[in-house]
Amino acid sequence: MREDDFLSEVNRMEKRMKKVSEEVARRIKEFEYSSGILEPLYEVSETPEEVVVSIDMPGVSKEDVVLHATESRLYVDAECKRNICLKGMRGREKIYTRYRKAISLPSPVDPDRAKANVRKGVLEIRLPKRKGGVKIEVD
Amino acid sequence: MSERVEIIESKSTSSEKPMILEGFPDTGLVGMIATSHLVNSLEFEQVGHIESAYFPPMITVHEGEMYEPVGIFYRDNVYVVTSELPIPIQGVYPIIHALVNWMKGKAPTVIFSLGGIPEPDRIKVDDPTVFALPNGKEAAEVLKALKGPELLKEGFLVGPKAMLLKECKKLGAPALGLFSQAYYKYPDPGAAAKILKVLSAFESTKVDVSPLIESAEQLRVQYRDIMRRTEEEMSQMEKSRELEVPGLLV
Repeated sequence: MREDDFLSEVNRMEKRMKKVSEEVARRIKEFEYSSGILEPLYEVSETPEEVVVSIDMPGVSKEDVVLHATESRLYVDAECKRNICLKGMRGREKIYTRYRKAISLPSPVDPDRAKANVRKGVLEIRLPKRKGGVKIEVD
Repeated sequence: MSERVEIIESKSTSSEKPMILEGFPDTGLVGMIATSHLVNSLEFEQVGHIESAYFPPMITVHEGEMYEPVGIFYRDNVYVVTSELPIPIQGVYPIIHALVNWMKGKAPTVIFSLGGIPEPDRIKVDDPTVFALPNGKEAAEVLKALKGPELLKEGFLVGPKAMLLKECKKLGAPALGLFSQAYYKYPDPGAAAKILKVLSAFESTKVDVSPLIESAEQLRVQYRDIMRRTEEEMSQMEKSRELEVPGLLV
């Protein structure tokens, strides 16, 4: 591939990624605005033993959170202690009452052994990875 | 527009050896939240803005009036540069270069770059530490007068704030980075409040941070969209290197 072709391919990929990202941003805002449900910010990380999911849900306590997990996905639904009023599109105020999010997990987990806690509105879920495969002896 | 960046001063100011604060969106939006609180609480006046083809073509509308999303504010011999928009990776060098040239022209006593430094265990940290990085002897003298910050001894800094400190050093402008431990991907008003407490050493930047703490939950929700956009830019800049350890200088 010539340098010019390579650069234009990179350029095309960047534009495609930007388009997808804009589409996601638009869908999030449209969903939030029409449903009154907020999509929280979240972060997924993993150690050799577990997948750790952190979700930022200001105003939420542990009794407000409903969590459900499968081997590959985590679902969270939480009611806000106080309704959240935000200035929305064109300055109109909009009331939000809950958070909801489905998150794909990067490795299969054992949901039965998952643990979760909420601190200062940040929910942290630790999901032990499902053990698989066979042990290989080193000679 | 030369090099696609222009610093526009729409109102004249009569500063003498001013202090300049920069708060572009970054880790935890710490610099942006801190500068925005300062500007709003102390009623700074918008005296200019940054125009650049690297930013999306947009304006901010607030209570029926038009504002520039990347503004320069002034009050009492202090300039504040703050922004709703993260600097895109392609724009970091030209925008910071133009901004630092403008800053240098003001003959400042010191330039503060305010931001967050990612703390993976932030959830367990009740009182975030503020780290400081002076870009030379003059800025180190300023640091001595401040209560609280710890010298940032090792690590990487990535993004516009790193470039600002570097460019200031190149042009001989004293600059001091103040970085509070913060959530990487969540807006962090608590970390911003901690930075403002450090800056309360100066009469002209003394501000009540209690409204910031009291409305922290609301701000965290309100700033999610800017955080999402900022995180996209940060990931392109390899911002996670700030969690790594340098290897060359051992």
